[in-house]
Amino acid sequence: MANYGWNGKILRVNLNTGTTSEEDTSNFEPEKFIGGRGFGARVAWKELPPDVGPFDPENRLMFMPGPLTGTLAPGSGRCTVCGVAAQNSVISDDAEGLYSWSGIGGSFGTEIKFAGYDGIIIQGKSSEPVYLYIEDGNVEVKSAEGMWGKGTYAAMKEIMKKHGKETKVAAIGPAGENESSIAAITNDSESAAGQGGFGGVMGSKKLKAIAIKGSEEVKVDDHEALLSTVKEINHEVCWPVSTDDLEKGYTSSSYSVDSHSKACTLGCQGFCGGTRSLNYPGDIQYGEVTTFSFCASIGDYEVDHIGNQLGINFWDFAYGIVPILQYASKQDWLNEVDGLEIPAPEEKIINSNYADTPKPLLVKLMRKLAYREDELGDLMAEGGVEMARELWEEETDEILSRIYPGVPDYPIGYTGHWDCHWKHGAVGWPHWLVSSLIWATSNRDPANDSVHHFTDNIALYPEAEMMNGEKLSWDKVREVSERLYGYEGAMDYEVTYDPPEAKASAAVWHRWRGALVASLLLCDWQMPRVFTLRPKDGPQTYPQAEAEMFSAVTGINMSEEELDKAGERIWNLERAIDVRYGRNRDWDESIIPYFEHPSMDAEGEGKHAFDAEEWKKQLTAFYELSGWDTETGRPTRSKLEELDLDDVADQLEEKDLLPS
Amino acid sequence: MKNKEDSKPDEGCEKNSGVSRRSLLKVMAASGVAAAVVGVSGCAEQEGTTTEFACPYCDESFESETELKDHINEEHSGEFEPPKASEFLEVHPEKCVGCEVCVLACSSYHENAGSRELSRINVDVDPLEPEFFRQRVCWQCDSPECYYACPIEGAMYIDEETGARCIDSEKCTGCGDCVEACPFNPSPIKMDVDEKVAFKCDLCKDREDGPICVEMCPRNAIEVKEEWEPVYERMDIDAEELTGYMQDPDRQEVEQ
Ligand code: SF4
Ligand code: SF4
Repeated sequence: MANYGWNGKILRVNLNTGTTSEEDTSNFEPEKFIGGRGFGARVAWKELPPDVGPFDPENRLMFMPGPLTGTLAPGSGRCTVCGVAAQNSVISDDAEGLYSWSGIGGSFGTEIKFAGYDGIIIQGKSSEPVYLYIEDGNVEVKSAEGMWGKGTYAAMKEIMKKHGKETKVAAIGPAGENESSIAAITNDSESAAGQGGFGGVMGSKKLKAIAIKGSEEVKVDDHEALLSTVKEINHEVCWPVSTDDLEKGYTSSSYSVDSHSKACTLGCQGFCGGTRSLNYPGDIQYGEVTTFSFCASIGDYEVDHIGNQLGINFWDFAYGIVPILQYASKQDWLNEVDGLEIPAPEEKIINSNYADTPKPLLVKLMRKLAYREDELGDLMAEGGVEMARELWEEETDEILSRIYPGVPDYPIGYTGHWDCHWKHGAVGWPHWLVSSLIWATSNRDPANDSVHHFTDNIALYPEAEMMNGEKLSWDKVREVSERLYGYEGAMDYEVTYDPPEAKASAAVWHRWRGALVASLLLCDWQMPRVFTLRPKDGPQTYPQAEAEMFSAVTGINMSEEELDKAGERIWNLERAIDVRYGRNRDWDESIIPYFEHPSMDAEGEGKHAFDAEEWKKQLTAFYELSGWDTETGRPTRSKLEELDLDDVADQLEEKDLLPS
Repeated sequence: MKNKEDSKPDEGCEKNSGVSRRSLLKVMAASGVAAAVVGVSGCAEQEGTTTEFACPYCDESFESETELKDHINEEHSGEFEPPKASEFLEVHPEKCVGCEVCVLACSSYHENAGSRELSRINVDVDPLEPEFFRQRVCWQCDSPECYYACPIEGAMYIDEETGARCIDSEKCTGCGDCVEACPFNPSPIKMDVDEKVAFKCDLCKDREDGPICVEMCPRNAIEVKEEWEPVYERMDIDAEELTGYMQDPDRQEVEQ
């Protein structure tokens, strides 16, 4: 195995016995599965059959950075957390969870690499609370007595006091300890793996924290080539900025002047605005706006800190539980919690009502959730869908189907998020058709995996000012669309359902690229560079950047096409894992009720009704472009073999899950 | 990086009595305040509990730095030329996001390695103390104590074009005196453990397009400045705060 990019070993910890071992990274076929999400899926395929539940000791909790992690590539310091996710509602009688993954920023992914590893796999369950201490190649399982029960920051501080300030820590709070299905794993004060409920998985293993100290570096084959690609990306305008910003020298991020978000991780440009704001306006001191509510416009810094310390996944709490309770109040099912009134908005219940919810109530709810206090707390800890159904049964399907794609048949437990059709993120018709296809085929909220790539770009770049002062015209947009997806109409606002391949092609491309980006591992907001505003001959896009950086770092020359194949392979393997849980076309179509609610387009009120029959043709096109069977939505043998996944095809066939 | 305990500042001072102290005080005499602020570390001789400030040009010694300075100004003025002022890098904290691209770019260019340790620029953050956010790079001081402290002829030199205070790795023996002399802590001069050579920012003087960090920073937060300002002005803080700002408590002696 090449000596660049990857370190060559993966750490495995068995908490049943407290023993650790190292595995050669080459066993994970790095040239085929890259790292990050790719490694996670590969382990899951081999070691996590569908009968492994999220809280079973046999579940694997994986922390997987990628070959680019620890280099200066954009947002490379991130890491994926993979395993059987706790957040999914019950899928079927014999599966309590669904394999999934979550991304985490902060310093943790980089430190795994600097400590000499390409990933950490944790299995088993400790009898006593423990934490893991890793220093360059030395690993110790240490007692977490005295730390158990404390918040995430307190645990981090205690560990840093013991092992030095430079120690990087990922920890869980009380929510994770109490095996909440929506508990997060927190790193630094601003980064968390929220979606998936992996905090609960970590808690079920009695693992309070992982502390790492590394002093090595990531070897890069061709520094000059890496510098040249990164330079081009870094001086690219990510999210077109105002002229005012540009004059002040800010080349990237629409958040730059006002909030000056800090980088969440190595190579990050503070692009998404999700981390601390260094000069947040008003009386809030910088540093106090944290990732819990993602950005200050949604949440409140005090509430954020409490959420971070309790270790709760903000998305399901704020966009699921809180709106459901508001709806319940409106219906007079539940008007107060411990004497605190639940507001019942006059207007439609939409997820952004969260921002107007009184602080004391939010804090009360979060504490109840994290400590599973009384019946409500106990149910909230199971996530919004379970809570609503337990308390108010089918009556809640109306509100649930507006919040959770998949209700009532396959509610996998993730609230809509930048699907752009309902409230969160308004991109407008018909662009959200692409998001809908991505949602249909996802094993989690797919916003960060591929929805953002498409929606943010289409929302912000057309008609934006390029660096030469010209506007990026719709003709140029169509050129980019043709270059990336093979269909001009993918990005055309006049093309809706016809031809069905138009929108489907973009969805497929972003699924592959999303899987790749989360395996390399790069920031999924900064990459891929769908548009560039630096004038260019040919289409205004830079899709070969990932391949350039991968080749520069690893010394393995791969073209854009070859690397996309790896993305497609990883995505197909994840699909095969889903198929083992019974995933089929029906399941994918279960998101229809959610999208059938009138959309809210950029103007605010929706008029574009979703046409389910037309949409199904698009889904068929999505399957066809993927090389999957159109009747079942499952990968075919020929596709799997084309992707070197022959053994996957064999195993699916054995279980009668391979389309004939 | 070399351990502070190993470098024995007092010994260094004695060993180098001629060259280093002499040149330091030259400039102190010539440029007044800034030099005093930058300090006289390593030049005060400890004798029991009293500190003596020895004149490098004659045999007299004094109880305070001020007395010594007055003495030099009166008795030995006009004897020396300070080195050419240098260009320097200014990192604008209000633009910097702490991505560390500059850090890895620097070590990539100079050392063919993506390493914080081998970089000449660093950004420190404390994940649990958000106010703590600090960009560290050599200030290319007007009175560069590192340069004066160096005991080897030519191992530290002033780049003719940019004025950068540079280390000649061929001549450097890795004694660490420059690291010790720099009033900032951690010092922007580092030691390469394997090669026993000190290295520091040289403003990428041999690079056609100028400093690589400036070119790579995604936020245009680093700027090459040509006009000299006293160090504390560059840092936008009071002179009194200077030592506190960048130094460990165990370097407080500089403030005397
Ligand atoms: S590259 Fe620029 S923004 Fe990033 S840490 Fe360095 S100075 Fe700050
Ligand atoms: S290394 Fe220290 S003493 Fe030397 S020029 Fe730089 S900041 Fe000044």
